[in-house]
Amino acid sequence: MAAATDDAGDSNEMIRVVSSDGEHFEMPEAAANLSLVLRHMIEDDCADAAGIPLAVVAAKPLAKIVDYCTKHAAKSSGLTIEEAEELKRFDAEFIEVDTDMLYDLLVAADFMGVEGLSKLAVQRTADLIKGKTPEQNRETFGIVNDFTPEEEEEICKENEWAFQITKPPSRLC
Amino acid sequence: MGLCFGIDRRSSPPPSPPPDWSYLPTDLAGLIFSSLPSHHDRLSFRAVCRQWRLGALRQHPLPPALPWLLTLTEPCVYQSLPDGVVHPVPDANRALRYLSSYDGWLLDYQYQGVRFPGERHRGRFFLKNPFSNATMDIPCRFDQPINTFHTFGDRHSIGPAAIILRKIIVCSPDLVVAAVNPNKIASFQPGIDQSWSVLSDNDDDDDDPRRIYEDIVFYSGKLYALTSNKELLVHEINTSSSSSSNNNSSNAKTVLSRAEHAIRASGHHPLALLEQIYHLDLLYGGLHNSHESHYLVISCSGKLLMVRCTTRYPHVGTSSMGGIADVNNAIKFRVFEADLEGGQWLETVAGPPRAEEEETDHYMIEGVDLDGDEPAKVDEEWRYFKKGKKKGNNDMQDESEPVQDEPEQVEVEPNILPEKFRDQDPECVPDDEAVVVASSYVMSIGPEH
Repeated sequence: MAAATDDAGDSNEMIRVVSSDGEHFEMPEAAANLSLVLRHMIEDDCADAAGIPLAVVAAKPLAKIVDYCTKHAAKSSGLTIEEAEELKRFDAEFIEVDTDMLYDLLVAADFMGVEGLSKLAVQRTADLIKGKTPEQNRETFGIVNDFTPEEEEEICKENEWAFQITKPPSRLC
Repeated sequence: MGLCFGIDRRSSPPPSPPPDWSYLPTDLAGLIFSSLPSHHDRLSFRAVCRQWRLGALRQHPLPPALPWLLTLTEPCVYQSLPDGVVHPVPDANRALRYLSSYDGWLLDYQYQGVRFPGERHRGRFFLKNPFSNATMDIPCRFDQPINTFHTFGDRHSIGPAAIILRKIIVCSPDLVVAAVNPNKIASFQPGIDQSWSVLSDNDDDDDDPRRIYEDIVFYSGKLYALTSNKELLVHEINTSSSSSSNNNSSNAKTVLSRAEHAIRASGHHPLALLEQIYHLDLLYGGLHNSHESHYLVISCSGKLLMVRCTTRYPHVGTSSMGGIADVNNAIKFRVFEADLEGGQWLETVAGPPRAEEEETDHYMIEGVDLDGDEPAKVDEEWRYFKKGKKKGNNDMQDESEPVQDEPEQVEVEPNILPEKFRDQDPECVPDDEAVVVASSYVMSIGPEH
């Protein structure tokens, strides 16, 4: 169906995708093309009315990704400075999500090969990590310390300079 | 918003379990890890859980983390970048004994046996990695006498090591190289050599006996040396497997080749001899009111850069505080890229056009873009360097003022680490590691394996 319109980029074709939990979404072909996986599917004529199934992407992150791609596809070429600024603001707002959603976006963008979003999510995660101790990071991301005592000791040594031991070491390493 | 027209046929979708960050795929963990320029954050990341640690350790390629800036004087502290936070060095009393630091290695000296007043260096010098606690002994003698201002009597001795050994580079487990003040390159093979082999002078026609090495760097498998004439010399590192025919290949020998010119001096520096005495200059309280030094830096994007740092000192007596420690230094940087094919230095430019840049110069403010006004097409090499503002703070009125070409634009007080740079906008993270600090030892922490 993609071949129907030859003037690439200007196609009004809508691409349908289906989330792992069965929700249907659609977006312009130009938006879908921002995803490497979807682009390949479209090129291989796998995009039909039933929609492309995305087995590992749930509806919630998929809705966000469709949103992201649609926005970025609409403003992909010949950006003015104002438009670029606006897109930057959009990204900044877009990625203001909780850690659950961030995780889903991170994994889904990586799976779908949406490079811009992948970078955005990676950077957002890095920003959340910055300036925190390991324990604070565990709190932020709901992670349990699963190191063995031996590993713990190795890490303690490694971190001697970075994290001053003023409390019981187990809390800081 | 993308149009959602599907209706979930199930009455209530099964609640998907909340995502578990401790199962973060290692490749994604690695990507996040490499987006952290601060060494602190990287250490923290690796200490969160096993999966994150695995991802961090597997990440390749990994851009180098920003170095820590270490002061080996009282108070013994280091400053992490890019946040600029000052941290105490653990066991500072011990750390104060370190003689110098070179790219993550601390130079240490241990007395052995009885110390006689007249006896020198009856002990061992060694390099120590403060994280892995790895140590590496270094020979305390050269294989030939060295002509330098700094030795007292014994010209084979590497002491006082912090001055004589301008820089040490551990090129590989098989070869350690040093720039010896003022004009020699020496190397040794750990575990094999008992003394530093001093590279003999070149016989080239334009070899300058007054050549002074400003810096050396290990880049693309070769040793590059920068001289005070801004010449860039390159030494190949040759490994000859078993030179003696009747031996097995067990004793491979790693040696430096003679110097070739990668970039020739653009004309003899008329002040070369004067530059030679700038050490004295510092020792005797400043005969000159400015001092220029050059560093070789490899950028994150893999370019070889020369950073020129000009430090201006107020004339002696003008400071009300008095004493060199209280003097406010004005530090200016300019950056040149080595064009190895063209054999020349190219000044890196960004933002202001070249003509304007000549007038205003660029300032490094501890890696923080205070005003968030980096030009849109800023070159990666320039992330750290920007036009100086009259004041370091976000002062909007300054926007309309022409940039003043005055030395006190950026003030760095030696030994008083700038607290004012704390808590600056964390968004303005440079991803380049072009870091040089005039009054501190630079301790660069490389990627671990």
